[in-house]
Amino acid sequence: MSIQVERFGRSFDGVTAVEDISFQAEPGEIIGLLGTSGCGKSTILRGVAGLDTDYEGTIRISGKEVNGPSGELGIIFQEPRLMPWLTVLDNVCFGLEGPKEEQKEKALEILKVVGLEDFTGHYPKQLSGGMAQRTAIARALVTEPSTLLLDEPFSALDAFTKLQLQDMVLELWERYSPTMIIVTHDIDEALTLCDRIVILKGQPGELHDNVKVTPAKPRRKSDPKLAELKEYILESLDMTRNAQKEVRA
Amino acid sequence: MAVTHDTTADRALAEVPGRIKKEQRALPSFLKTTGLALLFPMLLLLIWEGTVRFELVAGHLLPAPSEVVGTIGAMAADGSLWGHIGITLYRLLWGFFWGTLAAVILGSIVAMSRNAETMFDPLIQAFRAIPSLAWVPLFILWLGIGEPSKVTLIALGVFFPVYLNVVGGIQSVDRKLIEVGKAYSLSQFQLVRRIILPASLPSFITGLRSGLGLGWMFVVAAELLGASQGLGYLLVLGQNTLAPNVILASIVLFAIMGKLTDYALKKIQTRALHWQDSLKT
Ligand SMILES: Nc1ncnc2c1ncn2[C@@H]1O[C@H](COP(=O)(O)OP(=O)(O)OP(=O)(O)O)[C@@H](O)[C@H]1O
Ligand SMILES: [Mg+2]
Repeated sequence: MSIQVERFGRSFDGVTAVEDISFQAEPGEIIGLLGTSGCGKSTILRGVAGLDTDYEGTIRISGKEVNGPSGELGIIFQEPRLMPWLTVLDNVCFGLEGPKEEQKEKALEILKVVGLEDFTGHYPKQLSGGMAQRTAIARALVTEPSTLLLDEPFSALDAFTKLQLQDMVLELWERYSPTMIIVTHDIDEALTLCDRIVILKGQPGELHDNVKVTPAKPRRKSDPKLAELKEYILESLDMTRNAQKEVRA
Repeated sequence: MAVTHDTTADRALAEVPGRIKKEQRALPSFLKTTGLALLFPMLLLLIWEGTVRFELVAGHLLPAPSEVVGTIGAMAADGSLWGHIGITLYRLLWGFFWGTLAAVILGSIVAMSRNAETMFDPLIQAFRAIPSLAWVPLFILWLGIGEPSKVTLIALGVFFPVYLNVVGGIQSVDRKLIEVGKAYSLSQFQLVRRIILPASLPSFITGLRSGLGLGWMFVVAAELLGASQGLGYLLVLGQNTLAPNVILASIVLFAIMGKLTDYALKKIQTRALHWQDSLKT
C-alpha cells in the first residue's frame, strides 16, 4: 500500500515540533527516516499509524486519508511496550486472530527467527532489554501487515543480532513486499534496507533531503555507490548538527 | 520431591555441592527468623501471665493469657463460639460483597468517562468526607436494628477504599499500552478486557485489601451498636457482665480472623499478580 505524507506538521501546546514534511512511499517501498534526536520522527510515525490525529496536513494510505488506526498496519514502537501480564508467546499472539492453535504455531515460528524459542513462557519482567525488543518485533511481524512502521526497531540490539534481524526484514520484504517506514539512527542500516532515505533536521523538524538509494537489494556493503551515499548523508547530517548549534548559540 | 522430579535432574542437583549447602543453611535461618520474631511476644505473654499469677495486678480487671485461652476453649466446647464467628463473618462478607460491587460499578463508570467523572466524583468525594459512623443513626432509623443496617454500614466502609483504587487503577493504566491496543484497532470493549482490566488489577486488589481492613472495623462498630450474637456482641457482653476475659477473647478472635482473611486475599494477590515486576519476587 502506498503512503503519502503531505505538508505534515504537529505542535504540542503551541510549540511546533515538526512542520512541513512531505514524502511518499510507493507500494513495497522501504523508506528510512533519518534525523537527530527530537526532530519529530516518532511523531510522524504516530500520525501515519493513525494514533495521533491532531496534526496539520494530510496523510493518505492507498489514497485514503488516515483518521484513526487501521488494523492492517504493523507498528514497532521505540519501546517494547509488551503487556507485562502476558508471556512472550501470548504477547506475540496479541494481534493475531483465529483459532488458538494456529496463532501459537505462527508465533512459535517467528519466535524461532528472533531467537526466543526457549523463552516462550517468560514474562516481560524476566527479559533483557534486547529480548523484550525482539519480542515486540515478533509481535509486529507475525501478523504480516501490508504496511509496517518501525521506530528504531534494532537500536537496543547487539551488532550481530541486528544484522540477523535486518536480514529477516529483507526476507520478509522479498516474500510479500510490505511497504515500510523505518526510523533509524544507523546510516548503514538505512543503506542496507531502504529504497529512499528521508533526512530531517532541526527543531522544529523540517525536511532536509530525500535521497533515492538505487542499488538492488540485497546489497553488498562494499558497493562503491553506497559508500558515496554514506559520505553524502554524513555530510548533510553534520550540516544539520552545525545548523542546530548555530540556532542554539 | 524425588517422585515429581526427573531423575537425571535430581542427580544433576545432587552433584552440585554448593546448591545443597545453601538449602541446608536455608532451613535453620528460617527457624532463626521465626524464633526471633516470636521471642518478644512470648516474653510479653510470660510477663503478663506472671504478673497476674503473683497478683501484681488485679486479676478481675486483667485476666491472665491462660484464662483468655481457657475462655475461648470453653466457648468452643459448648459450641457458642462457632455461632459468634459465623454471624460476624456473614455480616463482614455480605458487606464486603455489596461494598465492592458498588465500588467496581461506580468506579469504572467514573474512570472511563470524563462526563461521569465530573458528574459523580465530586459528590462521592463529599460523601467520603463524612465519617461513616455518622450515618449509623439514620441507618437504624431507616433499616431497623437488624441485619440490613449492619450490612449497609459495613458496605459503606468497604466502598471508599475500593472505589478510590478502582478509579486510580483505571486512570493510571499506561497510555502506551492502550496505544498498542489501538494500533491493532481493538474495539472499546476489547481494550477494556485485554488491556485496562489486567493493567488495573494490582490497584484493585490493593483496594480490596484495605477495604477488608475497614470492613472489620465496621463489623465491630455495627455489632457494638446492637447485636445479640457475634464477636462484637461478646465485647458488649463482657463489658456488661464485668468479664474482661470475654472481651479479651473477642479481641484475640478478631485479630485471628482479620489476619486469616487478609492472608487469603494476599494469597490471591500473589497468585494473580505473579507477572508484576515489583521488588519482592
Ligand atoms: N506528547 C507530547 N507532548 C509534548 N511534546 C511532545 C510530545 N511528543 C513529542 N513531543 C515533542 O516533539 C518533538 C519530537 O518528538 P519525537 O518523539 O517525534 O522525536 P524523535 O525524532 O522520535 O526523537 P528520538 O530520535 O529521540 O526518538 C520533541 O521536541 C518532543 O519534545
Ligand atoms: Mg523517537
